[in-house]
Amino acid sequence: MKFNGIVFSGLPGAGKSALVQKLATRFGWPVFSAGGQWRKKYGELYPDHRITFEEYWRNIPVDEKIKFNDSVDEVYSEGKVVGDSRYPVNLRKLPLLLIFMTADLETRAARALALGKYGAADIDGIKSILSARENDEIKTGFDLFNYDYRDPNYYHLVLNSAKLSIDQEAKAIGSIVKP
Amino acid sequence: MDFNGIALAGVPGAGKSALAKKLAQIFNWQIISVGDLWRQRLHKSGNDKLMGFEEYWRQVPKDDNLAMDLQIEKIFAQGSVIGECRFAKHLQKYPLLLVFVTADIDTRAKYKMDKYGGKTAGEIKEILKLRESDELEVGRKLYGYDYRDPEIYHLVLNSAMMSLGEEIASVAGIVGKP
Repeated sequence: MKFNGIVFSGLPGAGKSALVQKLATRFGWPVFSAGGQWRKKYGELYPDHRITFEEYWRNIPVDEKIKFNDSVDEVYSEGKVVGDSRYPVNLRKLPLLLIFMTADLETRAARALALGKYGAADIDGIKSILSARENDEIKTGFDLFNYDYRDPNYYHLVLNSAKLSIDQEAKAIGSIVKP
Repeated sequence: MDFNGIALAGVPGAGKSALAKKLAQIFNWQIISVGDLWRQRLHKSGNDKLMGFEEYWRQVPKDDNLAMDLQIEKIFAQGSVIGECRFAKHLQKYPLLLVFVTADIDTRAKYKMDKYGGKTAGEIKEILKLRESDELEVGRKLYGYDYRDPEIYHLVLNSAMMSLGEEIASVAGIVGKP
């Protein structure tokens, strides 16, 4: 099968963005980030960060999330794109390589702490934020598509970023996708 | 990190053996299969006429299972090996690439049609499901973990969505050219 694009799902903090950037540069494809789009909307609605992004996302109505997911499908149907989409279940009909990124909670929290992603939160605080986000995402996956988005059977490949370097991850993908 | 061997685990019927054989050829490494070792042991015991492999493995004592895994571990520790194993977590301390192979049950039943000649897809599915739950139970009893947990492995390959060639390419991409 010839893949014409790559889509990443994965656990919060598992390193999707970094790998997406690396592959976009390598293939010369634009990046499409569903998470980034939601964050942009959040920034427009709550410039004062009155509520957290997690709270905002949790309270978006299911209909709006489904509509958003459909618009994402359109972007990917053109191919030549690398991006992230939490629930790429409907993208399986397209010639896209679907990848899930995982890593143990400890590693993800330590990484987020080093990057200063969650402000003043300490390691335990970050762990609870990440766990709460994962639970929200699991729940939304069931609400929207009645599936566990972490199930490896919905992806071509699951990469464990706690055990692989970003170069090894890029090599695994680069050996399959040849634009 | 440089890998000096590959350990393949996976749900029953997901295509570990075919992948192991191909990779062993490519890297020119020794190949081992824990499933085959158990089958040989059943054959030697002379009980292979009395019971099927599934039935035999289900009643293997805990100590025998642990001893077998220890024997396998010694081979993996030497490197230059590609092997199938059920429980790979204790192999994390070696420079081995740990791979889990998965596929949905319908696809796996289709793969096994030849092997279980004469059986219907429904019957094969039941056999595979039973084996998976046996393996799950032994994994929990022996080691206290779910062997399907992706966090144990470097990568998980879905053989229902990837060709054998793509699986090999991704593994060889990480391990490097032999």
